[in-house]
Amino acid sequence: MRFSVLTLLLVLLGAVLPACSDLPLEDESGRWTERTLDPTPPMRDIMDACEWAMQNAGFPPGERDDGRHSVTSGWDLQLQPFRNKGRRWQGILRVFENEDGEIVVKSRVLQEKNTTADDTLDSGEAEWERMEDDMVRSRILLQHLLSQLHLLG
Amino acid sequence: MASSWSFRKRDATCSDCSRSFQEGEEVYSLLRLVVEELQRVDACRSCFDQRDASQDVVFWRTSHSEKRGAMKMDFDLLLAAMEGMAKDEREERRDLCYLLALLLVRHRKLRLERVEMRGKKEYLVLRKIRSQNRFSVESRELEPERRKKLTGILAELMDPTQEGDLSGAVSEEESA
Repeated sequence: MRFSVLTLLLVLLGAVLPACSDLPLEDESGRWTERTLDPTPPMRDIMDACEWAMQNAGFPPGERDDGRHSVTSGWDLQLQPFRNKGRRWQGILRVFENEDGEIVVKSRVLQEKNTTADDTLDSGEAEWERMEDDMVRSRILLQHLLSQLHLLG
Repeated sequence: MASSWSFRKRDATCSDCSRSFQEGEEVYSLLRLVVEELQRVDACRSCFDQRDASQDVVFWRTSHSEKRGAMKMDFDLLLAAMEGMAKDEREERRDLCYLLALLLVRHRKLRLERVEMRGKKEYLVLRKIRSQNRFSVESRELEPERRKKLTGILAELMDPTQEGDLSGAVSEEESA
């Protein structure tokens, strides 16, 4: 009996841990682009700038989390008529304080491909598979953010 | 955000020789970068012809009027200035060029197509709206003081609340 409970716990732990590390916001293994802000504008201004940057970089509206100082866009969808060619991207901007007390902004762009063979142009039927993060778009997103922040004065 | 900015009201005298402008006289307004300092200058024809043109960022020709308010600066002029600076290798110009590029991207006058790494340097690849012309501007990591100074100068030059009246300025000005 004890063995089966222990097994069950291990199985549950095994299921939960990878799911946690998949959370894009917490995933430090993702390909982030970052800049240190100096001087540092008020946090509300930075968060507003993040939202504008996301929009200017072509991402659909998503979620702003003032508690975690992050803005996550909706998925920018580009369906294609062939398998594995359809793509979608999601932008993430995070603001945090590093060990030296500096305020850092980080950007990341998740990228996924549509692996479904049928109805490739139907987003409802799409099956998405994670690809490597889109570094080019991540850098563009960060520059859009800097275009807001650098010109605040 | 306004779609254009007002430059500081023009002085009634030539910045270089201090001679008072006459009503209707041809005046050359220019932005020039002297070492690291961005200056707004209004010069008479004679001083303009004798200037060191290598310091120019952008210039435009106007005629002096006592009644006139602030000079309205449009983005096309800034765009032309930035395009010119994009080819300029001088260190102090690349900082200003980068800030102007960000400004124009923010106002959607330029499209940021991609960001490229060339060696250890990052470049913005930009395209003018409704154009196929592309050009690159180096992404600069400006020192806080340097950035503050440059943005401060830009803000002072372009803040419509500083001086002059936007409404009366535009139609009478003629760009070079």
